[in-house]
Amino acid sequence: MKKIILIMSLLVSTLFADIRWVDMFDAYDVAKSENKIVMIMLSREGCPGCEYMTDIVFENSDVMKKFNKSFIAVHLDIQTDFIPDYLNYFATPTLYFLTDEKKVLKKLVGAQKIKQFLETLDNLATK
Amino acid sequence: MNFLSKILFTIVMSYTVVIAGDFLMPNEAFKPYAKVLETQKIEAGVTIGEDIYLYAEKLKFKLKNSHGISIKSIVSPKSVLHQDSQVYVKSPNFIITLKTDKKLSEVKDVTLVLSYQGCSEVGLCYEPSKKEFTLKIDPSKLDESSSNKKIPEKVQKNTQEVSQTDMIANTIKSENILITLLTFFGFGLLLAMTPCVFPMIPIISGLIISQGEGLTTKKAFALSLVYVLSMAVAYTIAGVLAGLFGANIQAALQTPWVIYSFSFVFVALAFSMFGFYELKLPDALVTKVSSTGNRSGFVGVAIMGFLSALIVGPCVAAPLAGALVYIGQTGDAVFGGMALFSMSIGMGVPLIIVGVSAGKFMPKPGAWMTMVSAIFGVMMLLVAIWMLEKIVDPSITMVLYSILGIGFSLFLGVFEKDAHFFKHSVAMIMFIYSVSLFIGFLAGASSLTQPLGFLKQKTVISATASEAKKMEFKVVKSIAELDTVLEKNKGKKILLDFSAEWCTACKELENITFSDPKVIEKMSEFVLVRADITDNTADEKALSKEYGVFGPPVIIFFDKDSKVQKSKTIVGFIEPDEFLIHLNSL
Repeated sequence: MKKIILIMSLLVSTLFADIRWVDMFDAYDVAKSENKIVMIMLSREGCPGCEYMTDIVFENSDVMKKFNKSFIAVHLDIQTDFIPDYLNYFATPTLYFLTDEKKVLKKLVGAQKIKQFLETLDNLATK
Repeated sequence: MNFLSKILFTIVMSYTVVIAGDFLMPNEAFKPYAKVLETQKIEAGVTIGEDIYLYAEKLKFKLKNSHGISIKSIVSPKSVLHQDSQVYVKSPNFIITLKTDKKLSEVKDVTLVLSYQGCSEVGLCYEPSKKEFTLKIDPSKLDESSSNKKIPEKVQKNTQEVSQTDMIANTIKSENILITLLTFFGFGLLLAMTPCVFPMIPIISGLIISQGEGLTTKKAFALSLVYVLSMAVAYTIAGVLAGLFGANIQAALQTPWVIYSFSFVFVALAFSMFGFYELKLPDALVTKVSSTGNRSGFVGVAIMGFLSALIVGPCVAAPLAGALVYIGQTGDAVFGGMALFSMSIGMGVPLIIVGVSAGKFMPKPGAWMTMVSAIFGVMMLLVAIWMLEKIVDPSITMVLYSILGIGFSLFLGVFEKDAHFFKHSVAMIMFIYSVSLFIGFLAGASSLTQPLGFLKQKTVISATASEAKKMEFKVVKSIAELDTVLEKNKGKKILLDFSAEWCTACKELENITFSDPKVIEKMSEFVLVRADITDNTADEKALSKEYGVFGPPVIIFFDKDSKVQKSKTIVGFIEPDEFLIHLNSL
């Protein structure tokens, strides 16, 4: 029974595809085992740029496809979540791209246009 | 697909976020500034970069190391609604007015903390930020700039909490002359709604009716005006004198012999109303005055107006004290006088209306006249007793009221069968009430509303009597004595009552409010201290001055740190219920 539910939910999740959000604890392990890049998004409540990212950019099907191929995502709310020292920010949203060894590949400040964001993803994935 | 992209398009369009690669660094986006203006106000704000907006509710000012200087008010620019929040899209500029709690002379370094948060239209929000400015403030100039007058007074932070006296004192301080005078006029009108003015109504009506035949509306108006004006003059003089000498005029007018005299005057007036004799100025004087025109009535009216002001004085003590406190502190006798004058004019407006109508609706001489005169006569007797109430034992005034009531109901014909049904009923009610008062007096009751209360509350009354003796005040007569008491009782709530033998309102307070069982119970939570300023010695004067007491009764509350809770100060008489609420708020 449990398996059925699991399979069903997997099926459902692929139907309504989404950016793959993981927990900060697991992020680097997952990245290592799957050879993926970790993207951490720092946001704050009531920040229009952050909403733009989650509601528009990450909902875009092209972005989703490209993202899930080579990236996993972590979301941190700077007001409620613990922010590790190596993540600096002075504004939200701030997007960090890191290797599984926590090496910063790229840092983006502010909301991104879909086209622009796709280019960034391409550049990072081919590296 | 086409449909989907359409939806997507509309969603994208609905976002006003303009996405661009470039963004400003925080130090480019926000440039906070603050400087001291010559008027000792602070001009501060944040210059914002392109496409930046600031959240209005996140923009805050705070003072650090303030040396007793605090923010009085802030003039803010208008914010606009932007994505459900009030924001500033143009660099906002604020003017901050400061105030001091203490009298400070030296220039002080004050730290202004400006905190803010904003976003950029390019799609990012900056983290909240803070900037501190050290500013040189000259507190001596501050007093002048913030209130136009040199007053070392403490301005209250929370206006809702301010006591009545302070409220009026604050008004005089902060506004310009015209507004102040208008405000005082308003205060006067409000005072006219209180029972304080009731005793004046029979006086003015009586005076006008006593003018007799040939009274035109015009003359009635003129007479009322003269009455009100002279009343106003009395207050003004009292205020100005108080300002000049800082003397305790208000209290002086409450001394028993003054009250006895006025009471007597009213009895005399009443008897003239009953037609026992006619009150007239000496013939010589009448001829002298009438040689300048037919104005004999005006002089009498003016004198009465003047005197009535003094009679009602204690009743309007609280607001009056507010004005007097101000005058006493500033020495600005002219302005204070003007304020009092306009307050009394406000108080007088309803009296003028009463006066005019008394003239207009005066019936043609006849049986009516006798009745009207009799009613006014009774009213004056009531006033006479009412005044005595403050200085004599309640049971005495009670028996006086009952005698008056019984007499008047007999006059109205309570036992006459042919009397009009309405008159008969009124007379009967009055008769029953008066008789109850008399029985109450015989039974030792002292409440006008519950003369027969002894029938059910015997135990309570006796308990009150024994408890009343337990209410003990520590009496102090100088600052030093008070300080010792304060020192000894650190950590306790202290109630300091300014009182004097000659102060009738204090007796009222003692006999009515402080004798209320509920009040006694509540007051037991406080250390009770009484500042006795009967003898008006130098020490006692200094004590009054220290606490800004203009005339007793004044009740001051100290918190557990022996600090005066200025906003809780009570000036004048206060009813037990009100006092209880006040005590509970502490």
